Amino acid sequence: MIALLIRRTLFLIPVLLGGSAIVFVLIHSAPGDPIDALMGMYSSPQAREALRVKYGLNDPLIAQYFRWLGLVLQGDWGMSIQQRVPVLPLVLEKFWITLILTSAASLFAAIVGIGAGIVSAVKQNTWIDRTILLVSVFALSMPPYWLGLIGIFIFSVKLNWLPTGGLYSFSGNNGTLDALRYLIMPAVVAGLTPAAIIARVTRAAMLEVLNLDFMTALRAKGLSERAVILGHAFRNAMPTIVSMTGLQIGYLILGAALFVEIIFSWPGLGLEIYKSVVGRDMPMMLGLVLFSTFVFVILNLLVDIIYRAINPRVRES
Amino acid sequence: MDAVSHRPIRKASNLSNSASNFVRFVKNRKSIVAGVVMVSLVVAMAILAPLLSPYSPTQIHPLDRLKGIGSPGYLLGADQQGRDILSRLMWGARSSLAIAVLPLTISGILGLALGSVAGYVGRLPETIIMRSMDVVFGLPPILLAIAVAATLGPGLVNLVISLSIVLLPPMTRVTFQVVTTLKEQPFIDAAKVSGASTPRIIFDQIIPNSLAPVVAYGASLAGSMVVFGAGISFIGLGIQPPQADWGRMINDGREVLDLHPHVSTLPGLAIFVLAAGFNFLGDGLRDLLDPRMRM
Repeated sequence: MIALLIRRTLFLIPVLLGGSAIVFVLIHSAPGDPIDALMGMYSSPQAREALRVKYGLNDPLIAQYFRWLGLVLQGDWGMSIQQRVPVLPLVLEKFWITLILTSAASLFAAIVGIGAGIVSAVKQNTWIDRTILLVSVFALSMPPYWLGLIGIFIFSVKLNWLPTGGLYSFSGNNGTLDALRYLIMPAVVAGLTPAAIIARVTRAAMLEVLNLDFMTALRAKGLSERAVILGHAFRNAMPTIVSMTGLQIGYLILGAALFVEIIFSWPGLGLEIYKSVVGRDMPMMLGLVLFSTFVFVILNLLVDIIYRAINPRVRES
Repeated sequence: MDAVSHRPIRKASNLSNSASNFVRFVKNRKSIVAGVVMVSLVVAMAILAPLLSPYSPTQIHPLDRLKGIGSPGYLLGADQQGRDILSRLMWGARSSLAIAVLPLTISGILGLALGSVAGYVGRLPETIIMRSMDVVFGLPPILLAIAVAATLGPGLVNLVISLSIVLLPPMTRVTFQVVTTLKEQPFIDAAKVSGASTPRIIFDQIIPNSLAPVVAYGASLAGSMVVFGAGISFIGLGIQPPQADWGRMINDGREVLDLHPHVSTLPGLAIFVLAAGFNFLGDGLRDLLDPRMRM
């Protein structure tokens, strides 16, 4: 187990190096010459060349990459062009705001998805199962940016129950209840697609276990249906369910949440990415991508470790 | 991107002998029929757009701004610039289909080639191909696509390129998994004994036999690609205005959501119909080509 942990952690190094290299190449191939930005269009070729040498822009790409990597490791992620502030502190600040939304969405997705998946598997081929499957296909096909707009139209514009967006109100008491009113719609919208995927995976994993012979043996032993399903079937299906749920949370943090943050003006990483794309703020955008890559890789590692920890079949291998 | 991306795909039944299964299948399963109907509807819209659309998708009618659904001359209303929404939806179907189908096809072909070589040859090619795919696979897909698209600049071609890059690792990995079980089969030994060269075996035996599960996998992703691709257009990196595009139309309509909700919700409905169609079709195809992965 320890050896495995070390091996998996070591594998982070090539992934992070590769990921940062891709980000670096993207920065490098972005349109525009930095010398133009520094010296203007009408500078002399000699002066331009001198500056190129000074900033090492004539060095081989690989040398430039390692110099850049050194700066990144020291926490110098460059300046946002639009906001005129260092990238890294801003990214870290936004990360916590995104984390609130994705935690709530993940909680929703896990509870609804696993619950629906278990019910669907236990009631296989009944109308309940068919309804859950149909709803899951619909949920999977629903663009989160569209669902968010419909939610705003119904619950904010027509019914006036919930705010249209933002993190909290200026006028309210800023208590927990107030914050929850702002959180509930984005969290449900962001969690719906992952919930559908988790439900489908849970159903498949449960069915696989429910069809095994030891289920009959447990029932013959006189165990209640509840104990058979939750105590044995679910326990056996859990590793698959947990690893898929974890993966979905990874995609959620960086995927659905992006669109949902834009629609609901939730001031996290996703909204920041949107602003940097619209404002052509490359340093900001690539900083956000680099940081998200880091989070994604760590999260995948955690999922893998948990999967192995709760699955006796792979724990020893 | 999808539930199936990390599950090994087992060897599938042969395409040719499943022809008779197909008829039985369509009778039993309504989902594949529903999928075909929904996708065909959008394909027909895309093909017939020049013939059926009442106006040009970019034609502006300043006097008819924000007409509601069912207004005379505008069956589905008009947007802020007085452009006919029905016409824009019909023309926009083209880019939505292209965004869903082209990256899957490109990455499918490349993934099939790379995965077959890595899986069948093994050794050094396997290490190089699979480890570099692991690196790209470790990156968050949506952000990678956005970063590549933002660097290349907006436009349909660049969007297709960036989505193909994101899809390549999962496609290669699925092919690789199929091929590693395939190469243990007796008929591969038979081909070897009969003197076939490695490229010959890969082209004649490996690729045709791994096609079905890879196609099934690709089909299962098509629905998500519609949502995902339109999402990138939605944030402004796909098809550029004034060209019609569903994702873009949703974003354009956001500012008038409170009084004229049809402007942004109708294109969303179109995305939903196409994505649901592909998802039904993908589920059906997976059951057909790869019965052991049946949900």
